[in-house]
Amino acid sequence: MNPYALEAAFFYLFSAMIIGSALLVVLFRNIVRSAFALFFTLFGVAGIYVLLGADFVGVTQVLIYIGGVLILIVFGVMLTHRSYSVDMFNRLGTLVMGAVSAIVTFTIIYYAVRRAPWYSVGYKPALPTTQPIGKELLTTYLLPFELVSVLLVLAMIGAAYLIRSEVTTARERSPITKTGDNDSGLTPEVSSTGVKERGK
Amino acid sequence: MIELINNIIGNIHSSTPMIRWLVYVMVIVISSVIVLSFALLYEGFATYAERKVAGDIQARIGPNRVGPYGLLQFVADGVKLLLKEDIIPFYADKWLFIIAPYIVFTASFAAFVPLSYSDHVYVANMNVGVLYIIAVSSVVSMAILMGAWGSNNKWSLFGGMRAVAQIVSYEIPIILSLLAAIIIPSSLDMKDIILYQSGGLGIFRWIIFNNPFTLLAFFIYFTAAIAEVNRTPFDIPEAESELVAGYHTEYTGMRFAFFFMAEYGDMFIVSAIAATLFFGGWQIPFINGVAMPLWLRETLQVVVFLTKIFVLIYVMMWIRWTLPRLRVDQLMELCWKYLTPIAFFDLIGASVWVLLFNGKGVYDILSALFVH
Repeated sequence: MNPYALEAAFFYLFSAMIIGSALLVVLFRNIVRSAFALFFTLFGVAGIYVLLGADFVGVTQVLIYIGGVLILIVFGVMLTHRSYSVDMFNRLGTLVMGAVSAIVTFTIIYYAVRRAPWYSVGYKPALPTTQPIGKELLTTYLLPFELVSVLLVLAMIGAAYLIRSEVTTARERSPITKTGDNDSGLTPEVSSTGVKERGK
Repeated sequence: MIELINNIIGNIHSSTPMIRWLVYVMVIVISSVIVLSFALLYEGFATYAERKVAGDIQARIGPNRVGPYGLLQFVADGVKLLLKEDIIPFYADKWLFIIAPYIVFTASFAAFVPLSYSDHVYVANMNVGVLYIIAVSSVVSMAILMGAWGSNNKWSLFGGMRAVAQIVSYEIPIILSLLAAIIIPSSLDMKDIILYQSGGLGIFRWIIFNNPFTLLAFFIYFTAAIAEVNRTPFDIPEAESELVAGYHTEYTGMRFAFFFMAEYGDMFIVSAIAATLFFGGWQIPFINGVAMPLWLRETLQVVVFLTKIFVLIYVMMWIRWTLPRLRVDQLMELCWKYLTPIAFFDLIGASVWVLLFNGKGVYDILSALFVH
């Protein structure tokens, strides 16, 4: 019996989960359902990471992508005015283009996978990865790491700036938004721009 | 338990892979069943304790009819919830409505896995234990949103959005304050963290006493953690006076019970992290456990660990029945304008402390002064 059969079984399980739910993301007509189907895709990817022995990356995948990015996507979808009632089905003309681009992408990826010089490590028990990752980030890859954090700070400042400026203009235009109810559970700034602005 | 399993696996390591997998699967199933039964039993008694504490604070008796002192009240409640009609609203998004409680419960229960109950009693000793718990609990907020959206009810949706906004915001002070504690033992592994806190009569090397910043970090963590599990004074997602019942308005029977149990499960997890990271986990205070027989030591350790957790849970219940609820904007203000900056300051302070004193705590420094 193949000693890797258990790993293989889990690999196929996670792959089926990723591919199946990714198909659902594309095929659902309701955009909110698509966003929720993405949950299973991201979870399956985390499973693959753990299967490869990358425990830190796998857990971070769950924390960042499911706990952060996906929530923001769902929030964005829900807060965008009436976006959830939009019929997501594409018309026939785009079907051909979609098929062509899908086939081309698949061909490229297929040949890339076939030609890549795969490096086999053989069977090794998974070792802790957290400490090596931390050390590498703060020694070898210190500059990229810091650049990424600067980029994130810039993005945060940018986002805060965008929201701020919109609130002041909204307040100047009408005093109603200032006293508007902030029941949506968000910070006052976000709800007054996201909901109130478009409601008028 | 784990020792026993390791022995069995060690003996059969040379046998065929087929048998090895069977044993692995059996071990996984058996340990899950043990932890799940423990979690459910705890959740049952926690609901009883909550009502008794509430009764005590409000000068009432609380449940006292079913069983001695009303102890079996939760069994009666469970039976009641099982027998209730399972209503799915006609205009609900049925798939999302149905799977949301399962994901909430699974995610909440999955966080029980990496906990280290004593020296040898644990299910999985994960290298990334603390991070794993935080990651898995963040899935809960996703599932809450799923159920809230699926219900197709405005109260549910409001509650769900509030819950998620709250959980996502409060995750930041939680992670920052936990980081301030984690840099002391410099490990994410629950067992390593507890082992680091051994010695000092089993009390003085607790991370909470390591330096002033970790002391502060615990209070930030605990405040934010109460918000993370959506309990009063931070329970705006299910504020009865405004939102009927929040995100689980449309849920009945067992599906409602899943949400309910997940809340109590989360309380346990949050307290367990606090007990592990700040209060020395299963380290027995004042008694030297080395000389004891193994079974006695393990039992004592489990008892000590659970006692620490239950004390913290009691404090949460106490706070719930004493303080009024915060308003939405006050809640967000507390998180972003107070807790997050303080947590940042605290993390920097703890890092500087580790650099200055080479990772030594107050106790180590003081004892080094007197020993020479």
